[in-house]
Amino acid sequence: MATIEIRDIGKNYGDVRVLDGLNLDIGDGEFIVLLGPSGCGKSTMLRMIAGLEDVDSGTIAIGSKVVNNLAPGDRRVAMVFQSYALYPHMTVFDNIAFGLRRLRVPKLEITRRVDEVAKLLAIDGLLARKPAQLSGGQQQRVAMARAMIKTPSVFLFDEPLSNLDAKLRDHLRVEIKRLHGMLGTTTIFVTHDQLEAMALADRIVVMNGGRIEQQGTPQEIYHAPQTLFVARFVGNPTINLLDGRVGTDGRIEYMSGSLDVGAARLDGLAPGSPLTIGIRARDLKLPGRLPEAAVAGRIDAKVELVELLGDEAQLDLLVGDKSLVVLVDGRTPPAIGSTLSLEVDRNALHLFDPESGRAIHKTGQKLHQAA
Amino acid sequence: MGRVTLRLGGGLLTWLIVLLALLPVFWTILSSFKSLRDIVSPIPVLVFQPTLENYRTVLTTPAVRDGLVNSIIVVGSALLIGVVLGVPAAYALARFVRRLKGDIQFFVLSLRFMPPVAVALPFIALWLDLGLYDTLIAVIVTYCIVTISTIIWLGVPAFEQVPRAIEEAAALEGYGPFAVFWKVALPVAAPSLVGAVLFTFVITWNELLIALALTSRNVTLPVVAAGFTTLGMEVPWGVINASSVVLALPPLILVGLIMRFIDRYFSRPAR
Repeated sequence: MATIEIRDIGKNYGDVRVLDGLNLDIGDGEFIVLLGPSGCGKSTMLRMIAGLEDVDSGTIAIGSKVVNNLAPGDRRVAMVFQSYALYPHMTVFDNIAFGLRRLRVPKLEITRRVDEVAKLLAIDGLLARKPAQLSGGQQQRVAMARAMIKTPSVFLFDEPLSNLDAKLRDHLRVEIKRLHGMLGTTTIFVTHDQLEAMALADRIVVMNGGRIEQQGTPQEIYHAPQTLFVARFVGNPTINLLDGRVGTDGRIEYMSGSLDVGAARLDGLAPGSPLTIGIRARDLKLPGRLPEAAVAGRIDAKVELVELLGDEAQLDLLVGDKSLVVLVDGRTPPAIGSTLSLEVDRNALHLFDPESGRAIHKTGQKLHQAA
Repeated sequence: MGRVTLRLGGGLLTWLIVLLALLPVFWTILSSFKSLRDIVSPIPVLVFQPTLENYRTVLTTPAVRDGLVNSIIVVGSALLIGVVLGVPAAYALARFVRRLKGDIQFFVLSLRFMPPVAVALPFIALWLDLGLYDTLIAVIVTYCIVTISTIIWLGVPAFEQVPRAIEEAAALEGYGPFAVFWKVALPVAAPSLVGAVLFTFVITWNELLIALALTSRNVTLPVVAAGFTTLGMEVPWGVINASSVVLALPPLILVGLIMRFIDRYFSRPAR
């Protein structure tokens, strides 16, 4: 069990600054997900915590002890790699026991502990096999068993599910969540998959270009993105973005129409200043699905394409030359070519300053309304 | 239709090449069992009275026994030193050296570019000065240039194939760099390294020129075999052929044994 404090850490590869003065506090037992596109520095940060990369500037403390100059093996951390990183020349048993052997744990004790974690991860029938004889999912379970056996203070996961097929990924994701609930070990999990992040995290840290864009609970990240980047990166389908301007009387003008968001939302903004309006695909409703008081305005759009996804149908719509994506009930989707007057939910509107990319909203108030 | 012809043609061509490659070997083995009269007959003799006389001559010549012992000592020692120094060097090059890696690898390779004569001549002078000319030590040390450089050259890619992540996993379990090398990198790279060592064994076992230049009495087996050409008044073809077979056997047997070992050790049962 341990807290982690990261202070102003920076990292360069040659002339490229991959991490730029990051700060992060992680509570004891917390499940943190580092989320971001490839090259955002999330894996580098994880590897720095593990001790596999040098820290160029700043400090990393685990359990309030600065570990910058500690060898990876002395940090009481365990890591699960994307490639599983099992020792190919050893049996599953030896793979799991390898770390304990160095600590000169008695033989009987090793056998007992390996059996215990093997049962927990349902790999107790595979102990005599070599990694090459296992499926990808089984290999990743062995890697997790190997990480768990030394009862580390911190678990580090580096995209552990990326090499697995979709079904197995879902399955192991649940497993990881269950294990964390059981063991309560501080966990840092790196992924580029926003679904994984939403499902697992106590707190998500969205990273971009070596900086932290936003950190917060999955709800905060999804419902109150603080930057355009976060809004676009999180959520599937991708959030709809429209260009608009501040109008009068709490209205926003866009292309052909206007939306009434209330004067309070636009407080302090000069009329005419540009805005980016973000609306998630589920927050554009077919006529009559919202109480009239919640309707900020209507957007007339033509149905270009209908994709049935099961419970839902994804509509690709055109508003002028701008395309929108909307999710509606899959049982009675509108016909292709028909024109819809979509209702915009006032409480689910996201406004951004197009220049800085930062959100314009009263976060607390909006979250409260959404909940 | 065209594809069948093509495959048939390809198969025929392959067999032709195999036949061309194996014919001299076959002829050598055949001739080693022939009497000299059958060998020198203008019409190739395929049916003949086999004789072991050539092998008797080869194996009863004291020089052959001495040459075999010398070869084993020289090649064995040079190979052992090559492995002990070359394998860790290859690992260090593959993992820890960044800046000069290309230059070092090229230097090592360039040792193999040199014509053997260019290596042999200065060494004659060197060992004469040191009073070590015609000693096994001199040949062993000279051969070490070959073994160490070849093992480094072939060992670097063998270690580069080892996934970095498994070494990092071992480091996270508290193993230091030496233990990571010994317990993880070395066993994982072993199959490729065995190939490298075998290759090195074969080129040193068959080496003639340096051994010929550096010794006069303490000679290795290839030098002895080469010496048969000047035995007596006439060219003893049968004895030459028999000695070729004797010389070729140890590497063949060794490769066979090690391949079987590799197959058993690294075979993967079906999934």
